[in-house]
Amino acid sequence: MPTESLPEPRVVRNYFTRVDKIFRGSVASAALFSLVVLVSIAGFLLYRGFEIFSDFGLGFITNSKWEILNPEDTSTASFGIAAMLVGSVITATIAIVIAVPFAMASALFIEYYAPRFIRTALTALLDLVAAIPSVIYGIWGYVVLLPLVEDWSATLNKYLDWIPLFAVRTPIFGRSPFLAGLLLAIMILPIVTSVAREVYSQAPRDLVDATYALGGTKWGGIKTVVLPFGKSGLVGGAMLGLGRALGETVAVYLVLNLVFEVNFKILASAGGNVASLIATKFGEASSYELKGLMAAGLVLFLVTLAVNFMASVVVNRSRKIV
Amino acid sequence: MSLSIHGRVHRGDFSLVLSEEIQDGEVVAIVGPNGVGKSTLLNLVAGLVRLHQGSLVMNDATWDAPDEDVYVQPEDRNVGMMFQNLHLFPQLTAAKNVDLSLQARKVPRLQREVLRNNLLAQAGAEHLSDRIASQLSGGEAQRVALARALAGNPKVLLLDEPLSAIDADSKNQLRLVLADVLQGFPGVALLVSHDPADVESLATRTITLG
Repeated sequence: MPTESLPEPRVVRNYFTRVDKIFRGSVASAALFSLVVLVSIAGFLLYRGFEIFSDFGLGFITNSKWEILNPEDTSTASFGIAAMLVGSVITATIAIVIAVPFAMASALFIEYYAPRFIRTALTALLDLVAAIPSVIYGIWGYVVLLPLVEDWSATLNKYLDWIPLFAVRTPIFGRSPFLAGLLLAIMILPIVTSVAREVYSQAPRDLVDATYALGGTKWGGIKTVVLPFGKSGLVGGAMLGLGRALGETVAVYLVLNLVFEVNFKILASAGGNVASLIATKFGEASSYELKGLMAAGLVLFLVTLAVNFMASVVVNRSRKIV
Repeated sequence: MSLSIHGRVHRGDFSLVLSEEIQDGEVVAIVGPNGVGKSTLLNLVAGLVRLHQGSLVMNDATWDAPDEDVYVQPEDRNVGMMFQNLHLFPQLTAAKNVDLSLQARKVPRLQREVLRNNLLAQAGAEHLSDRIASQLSGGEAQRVALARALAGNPKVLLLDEPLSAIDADSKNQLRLVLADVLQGFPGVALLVSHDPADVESLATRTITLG
């Protein structure tokens, strides 16, 4: 055997070389940077809003009133974000309930049914739609969607007003949580579809083929292999969308009538959203009210973190099952 | 009644030329070195790979003939396939895995239960019925895969390395089960194997590729 031409055996080291150390340091810094940003945002909001938490305590979360009679006198202030928090959750939930089935259907169509040229065009279109600024969505929602949703809301109310969710005190259906939720659904549809499509495309082709070879149809393959495989990814995509829906500001500001009262009637022209509250009040807030808005921002931040944390728990659990 | 394959398959640079007639009741072993196209032949019969030229005819029904623009979808061919990597659906129980084939053929629920239990018993896997597929051992999974391949009463049974990657004891046991199944199988059975002992004990004829 011509051993002369073989290279020297590699020296096995039990320490990092300089290149290893530099690379390790670079990637560790990049990973830590996100954490530093996250902690500093939370720290900033807590620092600026701490006075509000100590003045109002739990009432800041459970009360809905938001007013300050004399900006110079903090004792005339009453800040609570219950209505806005409930409103954020309701609009985001409506968005998820509407967007996820559409996103699943779109992703499956693009990945498993559409001819190649339509698939390419639709994928490009989705990326394009995802890049539309939210203010454009807001204006479109106000001008185009609002009149349509008023009609739909009237119909829903007419036939389903025995369900408390669809009942209203007065038949005014304008800028409602339903409209805001629908608009948010349209806004998050591209990102949820995009994630779902990506996940579905990675479903094991061999297993899909196995369903065909056992007499199963395309739908059988999707139901047995693709959907279970993509479950955790879909939840991840939905949570990404939920995060955006919870934090959306401008579009909701344009299509939702901010009312400082907890409202579970989704067709009524009254609702709330923490991010819109901040946007509405920020420009003319006194220094004390500004602290209130920072505190509201911190609560929204924590809610979003909690949602993302729950999402990762769900994703991990469903991964284990699959 | 027979399976007739005359034609050519292309997959990238790989090309497989076939000219075979297989009668009902025959168990034909497909042998040859790695990469010669044994699994491709099974996939061709199952409809997962298409002919580039020629025709694939089963009992006077053309399943694949590109020149005549005929191609029957895999789900309409009535084949049962045991894959080399088994491809059991990992999140489902053994029973549900077998059920899928029966459901696809619209077998009513009560009848399905009886058939499924019989099939699992035939493959020596009745005790595995409620076990999740991902938790089965190699030999157990192979038994379930065999029961699943037989569900739906296929006209063609395709076995891709059905006795590979299991210990000697399990292999001997499963070989006996398989021999029993194949002896009573009325249709065409194609068996890919690298083990001469499998070919010897199970096949009635051998086709050597390459």
